[in-house]
Amino acid sequence: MKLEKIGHGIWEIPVSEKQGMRVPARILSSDSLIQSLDQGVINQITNVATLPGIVRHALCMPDGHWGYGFPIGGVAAFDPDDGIISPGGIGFDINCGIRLLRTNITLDEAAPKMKELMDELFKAVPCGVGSKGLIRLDEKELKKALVDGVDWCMNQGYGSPGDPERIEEGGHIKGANPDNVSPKALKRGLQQLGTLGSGNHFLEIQVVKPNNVYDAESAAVFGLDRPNQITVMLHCGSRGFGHQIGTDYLQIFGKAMRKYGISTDDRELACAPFTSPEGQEYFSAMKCAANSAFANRQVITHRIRQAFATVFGKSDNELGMNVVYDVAHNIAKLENHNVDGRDRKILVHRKGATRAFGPGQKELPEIYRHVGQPVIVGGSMETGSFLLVGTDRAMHETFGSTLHGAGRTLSRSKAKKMVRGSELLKKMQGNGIVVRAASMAGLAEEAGLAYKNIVEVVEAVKDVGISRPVAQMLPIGCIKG
Amino acid sequence: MGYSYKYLPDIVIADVAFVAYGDTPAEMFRAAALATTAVMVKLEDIHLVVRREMTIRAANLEDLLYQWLSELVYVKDLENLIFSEFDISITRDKNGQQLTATVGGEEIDPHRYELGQDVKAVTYHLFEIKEVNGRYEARVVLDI
Repeated sequence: MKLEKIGHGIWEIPVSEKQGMRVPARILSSDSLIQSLDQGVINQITNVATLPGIVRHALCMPDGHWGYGFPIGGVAAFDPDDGIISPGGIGFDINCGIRLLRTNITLDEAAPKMKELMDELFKAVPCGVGSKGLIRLDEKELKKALVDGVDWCMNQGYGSPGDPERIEEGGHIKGANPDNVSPKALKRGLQQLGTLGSGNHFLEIQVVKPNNVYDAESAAVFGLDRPNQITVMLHCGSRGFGHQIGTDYLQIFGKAMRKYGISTDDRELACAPFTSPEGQEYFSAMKCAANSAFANRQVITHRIRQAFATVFGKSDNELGMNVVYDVAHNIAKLENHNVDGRDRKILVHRKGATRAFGPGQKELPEIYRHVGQPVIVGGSMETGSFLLVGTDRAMHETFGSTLHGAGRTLSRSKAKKMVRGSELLKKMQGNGIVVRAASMAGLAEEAGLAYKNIVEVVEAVKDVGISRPVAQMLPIGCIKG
Repeated sequence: MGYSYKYLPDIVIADVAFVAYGDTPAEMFRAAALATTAVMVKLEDIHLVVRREMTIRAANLEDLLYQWLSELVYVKDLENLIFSEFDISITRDKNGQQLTATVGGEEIDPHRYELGQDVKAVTYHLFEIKEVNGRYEARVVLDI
């Protein structure tokens, strides 16, 4: 297919390239990253461009790679009146996301206690296949958590007063109705609150070295304000509860497609009109899963704070473990955007992409509004992660969206063939990273060599102007499920 | 040979794909169940402690396989149960397909098991069942 460079860092596939495309597809990348773009991304993003009611263009971020339905890194907005909603544009792990915590601890204080800290965290945050959460809910209580998200956690005492405002949507998306969730999903969610999961999910202890701060002023606003400061990053989602909602609605949407006369090339692109009963019920169930994921990260945060207090023998105040921000990267949301000079409400799907609102947006907490939204980007466990900030340009080019991670380049089985988990563990420990892993095979599959170079991917979003690097965080402790 | 499976390293990047083969649909369903389970744990680690009867109905064989594997993922999350023995029969009537299975396994023991990756869900991505020279083949992508 024809891939035409139409501006700095932006490539376009015109509508003439595939039958049924309603809008062009755009890929944001760099001159070097675009060379290694897999054909699957082009195929999938042009499929997205055929969906009813799509607005302006289908987008793929620089960390994009082949997924199912939408590519990972896919962003697409739909008209809420005559467009669709697609679970394939969100993924099974609804509101998989990343949270970053700051601390008052510095590397000098942390280094002698890292092994003890990682052991304590490994106990506090269950992970891997078959792990159960440490909080058990009955169905009535779970439903409250699904409706109220982080607010439910705050009422239960799992949080500090400043937490909710530092979470996308305040950690509580309105309009979540558990009546639209199957009994199976509810049962699957009962025992998993406070668990990390496996795959690419992680909990990391990181350090921000002075030479890795690119914008000290914004960093200070976000709470990164001292040399060699320790941060904590966690990456996880809605666990079995969200996965079951994805599974249930994929089948419901398969039938809805026939009912509404919609056809797609890929069953994973199943969709329904947003205004249809199926569309509205899924949207509401998706919000339940999104709230459960926010609550999951909140409960884990509570456990992390307890572990730090135990290991460092300090009070909450002394530790200063504030949430920097919490971003969703598998979600659909109704947002107000200026589209071609007109203010419109649109349904933005982000799958493996992060909201990146620029300065002044009313959705941002007052403390950050003058700077822009913190964007948290998880890198591979060997190379480090980034804190960026959203820009005005993102509002114009990408419906206020940007990358979410480094982006995989190697399949899981190839990564496992190239490196053994036990060797990787030794290598990481040799590089000063204390590792606790539930699965050695899982560790190998997440090796740094399986991912794009995160520095290059971050450079690409900086060049195209859809977000701006604030700081890089390097891992010194890593828990993998 | 009654059934077998192999993983496909090149068709997905962040997830796991496999092809399951069987002389009959039931044998192919058994192979797919083993392939799914072996992503999460080492099959040899599973002791036969618990037996279960499972029944699943669907309009066609594709949806039956999707629901069968989804059920195994569901039971794993709900009760921590994982299985390595599958005695399956599939029957067809005018309303569709029915699977009846007796499965054997136990609760996952993270201390004794060599764990792999958790399966989040079964996807319909590249999902396909076909009959080749009298053998049944299914291609499945699991979300990891």
